[in-house]
Amino acid sequence: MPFTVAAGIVVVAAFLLAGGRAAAGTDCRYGEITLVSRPSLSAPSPTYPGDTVTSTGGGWSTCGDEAFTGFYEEWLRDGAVIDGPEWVEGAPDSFTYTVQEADIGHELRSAVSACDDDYGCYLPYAQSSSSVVPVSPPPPPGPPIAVQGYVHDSKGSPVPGATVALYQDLDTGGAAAQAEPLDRATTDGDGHYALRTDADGLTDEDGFANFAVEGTAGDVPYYAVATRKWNGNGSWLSADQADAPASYPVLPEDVDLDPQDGSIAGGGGPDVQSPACWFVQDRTTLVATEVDGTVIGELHVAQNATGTFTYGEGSRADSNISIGSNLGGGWHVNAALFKHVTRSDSSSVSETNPTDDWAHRLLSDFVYAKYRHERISDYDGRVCSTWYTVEPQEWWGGIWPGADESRYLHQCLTTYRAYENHFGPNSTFARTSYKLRRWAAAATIYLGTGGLTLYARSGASQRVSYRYRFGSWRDHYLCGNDEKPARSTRVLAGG
Amino acid sequence: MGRARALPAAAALVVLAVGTVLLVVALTRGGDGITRGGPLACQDCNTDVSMPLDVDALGTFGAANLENRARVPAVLERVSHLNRMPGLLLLGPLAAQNSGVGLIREFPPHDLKGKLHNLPGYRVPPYHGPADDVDILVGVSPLREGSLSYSGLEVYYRVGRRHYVTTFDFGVRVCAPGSVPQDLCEPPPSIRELP
Repeated sequence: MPFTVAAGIVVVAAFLLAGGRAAAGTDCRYGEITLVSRPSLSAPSPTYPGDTVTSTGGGWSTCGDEAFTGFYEEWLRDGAVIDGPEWVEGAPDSFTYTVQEADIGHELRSAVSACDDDYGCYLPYAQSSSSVVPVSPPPPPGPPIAVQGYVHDSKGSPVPGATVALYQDLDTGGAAAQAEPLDRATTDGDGHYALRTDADGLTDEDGFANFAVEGTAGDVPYYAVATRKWNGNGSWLSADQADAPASYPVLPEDVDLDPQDGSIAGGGGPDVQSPACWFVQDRTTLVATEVDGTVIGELHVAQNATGTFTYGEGSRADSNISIGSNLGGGWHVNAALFKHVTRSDSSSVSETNPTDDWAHRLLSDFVYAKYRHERISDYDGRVCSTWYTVEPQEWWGGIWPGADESRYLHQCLTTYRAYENHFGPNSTFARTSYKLRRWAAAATIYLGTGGLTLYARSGASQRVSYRYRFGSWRDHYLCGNDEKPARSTRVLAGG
Repeated sequence: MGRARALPAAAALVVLAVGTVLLVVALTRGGDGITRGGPLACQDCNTDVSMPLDVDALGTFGAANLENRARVPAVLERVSHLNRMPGLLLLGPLAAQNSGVGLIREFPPHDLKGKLHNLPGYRVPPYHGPADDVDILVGVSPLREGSLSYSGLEVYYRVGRRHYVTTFDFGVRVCAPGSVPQDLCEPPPSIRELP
């Protein structure tokens, strides 16, 4: 019994000496901090200046599970502290460092010292088990992508290893040549290519540029045109994007190159791949021109209203028109690719409905040119390859009604009710932006082609506008075909 | 342990530094962390309308057409009017799903009774089709004779925790008295054409 009492006294004394805290075990001092695992680093690989390196806080324990009051964190370059120490409240946790230019080629490590009230802080600092050595940043990106897409064979499969070159699409009254392409690329394993150029000297006063994409894969020539608008901020926009810009950066739609039955061996072109055609002049020669009526829009007006469609304000056109190309195997038109026409030989024109319930397509004259394209050797003047295009060249003017569209009248409260807008008496509606409808068979061009039908699309813009004046009747209706009239590709009329 | 005593002062300095950084970031983002554009933006949408109207008469203008391209609702907060002329009384704004209002001679539109909502807090659903269209409707009334207009609407809204503002190139002009000839009451120019 005396032994039991003595043992009890010893236990009570030990408890009191420990400050009344919970038992901490017999092999550690209460609050003592133990490093379980060192901090570790994560960072992008490779790591460039400006990147963020993240360090874990490491693994730590305290005797008796005493809470951490905080920790010091610091960063070291080749073993010397360059950032910190900084105090952070709470248990050791992750923290970051932004890589500096001065860190290039040097070893970065983090270090942590955990602290609690009884033990103080763990020393020495626990350095990270891993390190990061930043490298020099990659060279600045080249000029922005002007045109990209895929090269396909006749079965639609991707063509790796095709050569693709970017040129200006030249308008000339005689002959003009380009010595070097703006860019050249080889398609990757997926048949993808990307061609880059800055805007310097390439755009017209409205910011538009028309490019020619020439490609060759063995005996197969490829050709396309692509219109682009410089956004003034380092990017190219396609025609649709220029008329209906996204609120976030996106690349223009792909320009895919498909075979058109031409043959390099048969004298067709363009040949941008064979060594004999490497150092050449890319020459464009005007063969002939003709003036053809082309759809520039439409006007639909119901009753008790006057509508006016105006084109070419500021004496500048605003139409996207497809081209025809013959690479040696016959004429082809790509419905998805356009040349933008800004050049004009006319002042603005407008059409107003002469009667109620009037709906027609509207046409105007454009000059179309047939060009011969040749790649001519710099060395001996030999013509490496020849191909032809038919392209819109400039707006010639005039406006007149085309096909009757009155079957679309008076459907704003039925077929197109979801896209209807209601207007009261003596009100006026105007629209000067957003893309309009793409017209198939917008123009038929001959120029020795046998009759080539081209696509065309205008964008409502400062150059192209709608204005409706409604009369004294109580109710008037406009509607879009695919959206409300503020952003539809067609403006229809009548309830 | 001297190092431990310095901890509160160090912590205060850290808090002060972080606060300063956050303030600088907020100021460079436009003052209150508002991003321009966002899922309601329609950068190139455009409508400009007009009509003669007697002093104190009321009209309703479909002042913006919203299609929410986010996957979650956008919550409308407020609007502001660009180039608003003194003497033009503006009422609302109201929100209505696919209202079809262009410019009409009443406010609020009686056809839309029960479908009109106050704009602040209105939730624009994700756009799946025209039924998800939301129009912002603004009442217009001339307080005096003359040609009175505004040229665009800035719509403030949030999606989740993120706040946005986007501009609609939708302008309206009313000319008082109502006897002003229509050809002397042209819509205001698009904001793209303003200097």
